[in-house]
Amino acid sequence: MLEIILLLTGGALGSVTRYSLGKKLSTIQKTLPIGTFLINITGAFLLGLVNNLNFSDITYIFLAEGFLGAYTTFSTFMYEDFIFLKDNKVLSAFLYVFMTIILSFIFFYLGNNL
Amino acid sequence: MKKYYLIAAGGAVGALLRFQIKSIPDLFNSPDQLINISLNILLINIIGSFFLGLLNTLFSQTEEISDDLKLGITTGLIGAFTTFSTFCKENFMLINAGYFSFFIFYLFASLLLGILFVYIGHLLAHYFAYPLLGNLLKRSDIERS
Repeated sequence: MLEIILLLTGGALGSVTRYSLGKKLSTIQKTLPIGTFLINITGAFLLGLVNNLNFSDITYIFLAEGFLGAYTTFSTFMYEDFIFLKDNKVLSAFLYVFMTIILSFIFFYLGNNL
Repeated sequence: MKKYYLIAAGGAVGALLRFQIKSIPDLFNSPDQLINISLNILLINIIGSFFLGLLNTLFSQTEEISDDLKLGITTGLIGAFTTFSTFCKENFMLINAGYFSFFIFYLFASLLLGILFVYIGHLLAHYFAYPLLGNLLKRSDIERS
């Protein structure tokens, strides 16, 4: 029961944080999906950190499965890349995926090994 | 303000659904638990990509649903259902376990199928769901008038 409450709370907080932060960031740069880009990279870093810090199972469920799971998103990342392809911006589509994957793997590693 | 509650509610349900599917031990018949969880996450991310492609296209052409509710479903529910951070972690765990060829397969399958299923969802909404829904809405307008 506690597990479910923590997942619901973490998921709610994670998605509202993603929305608010994404909205703020998208006003800075409109042509690139900078919001999702930075959110996924910081989320990967924080999950590496949480993974590294031997929390109890229940804390891990709240932080990793609830908050960070909902804070980062795969579907919007894929959708934004699809829009690049749809607009014939093949290079942007490739670079967006490439940079997101490379940087998020590096930052997950840094968080996990800090 | 209402949109924040709807995004929170969608996100809560999305995260719970994701955790439930992630935890199914025998969705894929691999004896290896690490491979099973990775594939569960792959399935979650692909289903979510499909629905985001479908609904974003559908919602862009529909005014019957409020913008706040649209955000609750797309940014909240689907955004929280799919996950990028756990996807990163799974990739690292596969590398650490020495499953290099499966890691390469997993990475490329996630990305290629993700975009493909956004596209399939988009096409379905564009050529099938929207005309059908559009006709139904028009018909109800006629009946009302």
